[in-house]
Amino acid sequence: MKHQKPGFYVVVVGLCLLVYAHVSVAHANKISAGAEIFIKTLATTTQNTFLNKNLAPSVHKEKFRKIMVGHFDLKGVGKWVIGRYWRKSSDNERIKYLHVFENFIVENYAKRFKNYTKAEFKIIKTEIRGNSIFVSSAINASESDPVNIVWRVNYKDGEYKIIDFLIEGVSWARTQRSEFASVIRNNGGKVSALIIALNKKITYLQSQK
Amino acid sequence: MSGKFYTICKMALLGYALFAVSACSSIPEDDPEAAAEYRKINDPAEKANRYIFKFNQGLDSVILKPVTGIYRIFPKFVRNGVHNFFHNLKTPVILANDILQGEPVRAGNTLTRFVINTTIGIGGVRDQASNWGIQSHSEDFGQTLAVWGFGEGPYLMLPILGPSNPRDALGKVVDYLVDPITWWARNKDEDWIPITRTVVNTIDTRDRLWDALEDLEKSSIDYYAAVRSLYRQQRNREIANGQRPKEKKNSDLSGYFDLVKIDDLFLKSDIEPGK
Repeated sequence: MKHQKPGFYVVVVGLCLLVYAHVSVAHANKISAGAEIFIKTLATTTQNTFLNKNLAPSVHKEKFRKIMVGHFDLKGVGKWVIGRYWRKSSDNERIKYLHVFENFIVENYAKRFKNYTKAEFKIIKTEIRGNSIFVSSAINASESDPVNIVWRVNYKDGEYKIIDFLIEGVSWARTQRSEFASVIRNNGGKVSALIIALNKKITYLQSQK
Repeated sequence: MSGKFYTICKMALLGYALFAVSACSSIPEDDPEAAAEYRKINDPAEKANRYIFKFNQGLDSVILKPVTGIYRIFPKFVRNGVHNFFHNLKTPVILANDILQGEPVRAGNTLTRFVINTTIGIGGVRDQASNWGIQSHSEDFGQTLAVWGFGEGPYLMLPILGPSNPRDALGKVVDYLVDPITWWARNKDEDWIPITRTVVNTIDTRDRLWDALEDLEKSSIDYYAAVRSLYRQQRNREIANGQRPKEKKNSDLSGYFDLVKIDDLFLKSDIEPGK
């Protein structure tokens, strides 16, 4: 084969890079769009569930649980919020903890949505940073100021899962993490103490009207 | 204000410092992870802070909450008017800090807001500037110090004043001292003006946090730790706004990325939730 000039290789490499860049941008756009649809679906199904005032509270709760389990990486977040204590916990503790963690979230948020009235949900923008897709949204209810929520979504094995959300810049996972770690730390580093505290809170929340 | 008042203040401060220092815990050096966690929480006076937090909660339930509850009888637009009026009065302090942080655009916004709201906004009662797209922002000397590279120092729960740290506490003092209204009132011997302003500002802040605090207290399993975390996240977010002009459009996230960075340093295996 005839020896090519260096310029030829530059052009070939350049073209390859261009194609690669194009493909990866298209891929990123596809992932972003998918994340937006994913968040929109979450908002719509949650809205529809709680706007249906004919349902019993227990039905609301179970429907909400399904939405949460389907949209959140509860196991991942649950592990992350107890950080180093996860590694020190026994299998039995882990199972128990993840179970109460889910219940805690469902009780906490189902309560908040109970008196939900119609609000406008809008996606503002989406950006990819590192492994995560950040979907910025705004909720406009007629009576109060608009609330900004940023959803941190990870895409893995063809599935979207929420790993955190930020309300007006305050991270949910981070706040839970500092609270949970504090409870464990102040109780001799035992995850079982956290499980007790969570169960207590769940009972308290259930007793609230 | 009389010299006696200052003596009492000094005594109280000294007493507080002694109390806080005596209640400090030591770093668990034998366990590197525990030591890293201890440094990250950065709350060596946690025991003392928790006592003060309890004291503040008591004070809140006996005085501040009931008074704010009465204040909340006023309709929202009246309370907003009060908030806007007092926020407008903070203009000199905000402007000074905008300038000290080297933020000409934000300084311009502060000035424009003041002109619009004082005139068309009827003495600051209406926030007309926000309606026209010039949003309000807060700025204080604690944030300025942060932009200048001062670390926050250990977490502090101040009696009555609430969550803070040495940097923000110093910032509060400086903001109070440089505020022209403080000077003007002192020269005119009108001590009631700064006092009234502080009282109204406190009630206004409590009013704005009414639902959020109730919600947080109900839903948290460690209210103290939740408040500590929220305070830091909020402050980091406020500081990041000024620090990186390029990211202003993403101001809802810039503070978060700073925190992610802090986490990277903390535990490499736990960089992000869900991992």
